Amino acid sequence: MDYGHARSRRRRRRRQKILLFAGALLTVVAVGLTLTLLLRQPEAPDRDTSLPATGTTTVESSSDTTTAADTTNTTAAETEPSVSESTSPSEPTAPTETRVPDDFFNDAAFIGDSRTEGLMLYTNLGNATFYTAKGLTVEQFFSKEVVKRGDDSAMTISDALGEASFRKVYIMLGLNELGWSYESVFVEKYAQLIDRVRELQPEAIIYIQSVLPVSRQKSDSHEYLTNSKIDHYNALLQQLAEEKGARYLAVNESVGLDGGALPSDATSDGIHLNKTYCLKWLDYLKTHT
Amino acid sequence: MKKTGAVTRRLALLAACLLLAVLSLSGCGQKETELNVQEAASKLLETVTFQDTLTLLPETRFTTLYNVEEADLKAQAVYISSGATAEEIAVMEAADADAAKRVKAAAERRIAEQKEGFEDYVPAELTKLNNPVLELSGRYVLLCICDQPEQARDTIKKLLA
Repeated sequence: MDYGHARSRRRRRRRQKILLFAGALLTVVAVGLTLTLLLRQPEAPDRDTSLPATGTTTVESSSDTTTAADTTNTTAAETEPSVSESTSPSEPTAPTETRVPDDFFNDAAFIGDSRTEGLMLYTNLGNATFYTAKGLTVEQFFSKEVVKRGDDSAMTISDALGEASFRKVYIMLGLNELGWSYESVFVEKYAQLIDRVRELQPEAIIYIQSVLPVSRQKSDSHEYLTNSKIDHYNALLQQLAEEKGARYLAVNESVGLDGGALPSDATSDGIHLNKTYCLKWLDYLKTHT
Repeated sequence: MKKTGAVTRRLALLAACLLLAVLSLSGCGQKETELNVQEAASKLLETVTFQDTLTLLPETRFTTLYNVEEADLKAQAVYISSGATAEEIAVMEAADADAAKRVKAAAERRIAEQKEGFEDYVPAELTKLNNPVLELSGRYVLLCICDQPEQARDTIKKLLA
């Protein structure tokens, strides 16, 4: 009897030990899991609006649409030099019979201001190269470092053009110079720009695009952003193209569908084209090569 | 002896309950919001008041504006302005939570560049750029630049709920 009682005691003790061990093990696992969860909590929504100042994209801002007292003119002659009176302006590039595909522009460079930036963002010219900056002028082509390098430094478009090879260079500048005191300075700088492009890209066809119109409302209400002034500048550009052996593209015809003005459905501010009208502009380029 | 056995059983029972509780809590803690980036971006477009007309950015142009490594990004939907304003919507899904931090940094750089761009061009836009709505939640980064940041925050809060 004593033997049976002792065996029962041993079995009980064994059970207790097993239970104790299992309990301890479960406790350790539970604590471990809890600690793991605490360390891996997902981040709460971050409302940090204190931002470091960094910039690595390929475009930078430049000055806004200039006023009549623009200081970039101060380096030019104080008296207005006469505009060249050579040959008649070149005819705008005639339409071609075919519409070229997007990849026609793979070896093209586009130089321009925020409107050309719109062309870049709204169209699918993925392999074309765009050198654009908000408010860009013919002067800033040479002076403003708007093209980012990989190392966070920047260079001018004039320098950047020398680092790649293009077969076509499309230029649209002039809107931001409408307020300049002397139009001849605009023409002179534009001529220098063309010379520089020719020097860096001797094999490229240079296309001078007309300045796109603004809306009727903008034209009627603004001091110098007027369609009559734009038309005048375009006439100067047409003449310049002839002198420089460049091709003139009357792209304004593609979007100036409100009697030469930008239609109200083309723009939210009277100046910048929406996607629909950027595509009309592109279509003009595709059919005038 | 009986008393020791009872205590041991109670300890084992307590540990088992604790483990069960932790396991169930861990299930709740790891739950992450799933977003469809296009739907989220569209929702922001729909619920926030914008001055400008925003248009969906072609996928091929995403890296023009946001310098993000391909491996870091799973999906994105960006609505851009016409150029007249700095208004923008960007909803981005990163590969994981670590990548999301880099994507957020890219969004911060985008804002900084836009500030540079509009500083002299249209200075009034700096008001929006100085109050961007930029949220990071798990692997999602949401950005909205607008005149009505509270509307954007409200929509994002609902999207992430």
